[in-house]
Amino acid sequence: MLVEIYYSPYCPHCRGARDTVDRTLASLGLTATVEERNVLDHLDAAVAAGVRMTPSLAVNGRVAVAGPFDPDRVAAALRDGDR
Amino acid sequence: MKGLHIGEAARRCGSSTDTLRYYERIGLLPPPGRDAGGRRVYSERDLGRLRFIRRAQSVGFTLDEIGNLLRFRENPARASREVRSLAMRKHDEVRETLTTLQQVETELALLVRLCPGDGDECPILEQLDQQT
Repeated sequence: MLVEIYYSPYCPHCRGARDTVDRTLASLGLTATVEERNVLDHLDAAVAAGVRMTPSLAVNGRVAVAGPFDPDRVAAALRDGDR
Repeated sequence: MKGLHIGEAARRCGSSTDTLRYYERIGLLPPPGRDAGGRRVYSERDLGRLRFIRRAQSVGFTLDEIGNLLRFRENPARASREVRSLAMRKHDEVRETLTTLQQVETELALLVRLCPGDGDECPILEQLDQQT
């Protein structure tokens, strides 16, 4: 499973996004390739994934969570992506 | 009277009276009905054709293509092979345009949200500007 965290500098909700993802993966017992992408450096990839705001969590190439990372929504997205 | 006179019909379709008469002259619009005074009266069906013409023009279709597509629109089951082929080709073109527009819309949505404040300064967009 590929998990991408799209963030932007100066975005308050982006801080801690990686921690939320790592903790959720660990609690679910899942493994994934996690990549953090600055949307300014990866604008085309962000658009292709459907990123409309930061932070956004893309699982296997498609946005699954947009906006602040609620742990329950992140968990649901990661479970879906692992199927 | 059931229907609209030319001025109101043109206004509703974002067009001009001259344009409506022109469409009629080149056969894009069938001659509309007339009231007792001989003035053109446009039915809802006429307005539908007019709106279709305007929309098709706005996405770059030629008047010739629009004429053929109008025939297809009037009677899809009896359309010739050529007209059906044109409609399919235009359908593909519109879908490609929609995909492109969706990408542009997503990119703009993302960019405008990077700086939610109403100030003039946006360090994020300035950084992006320096990259391009």
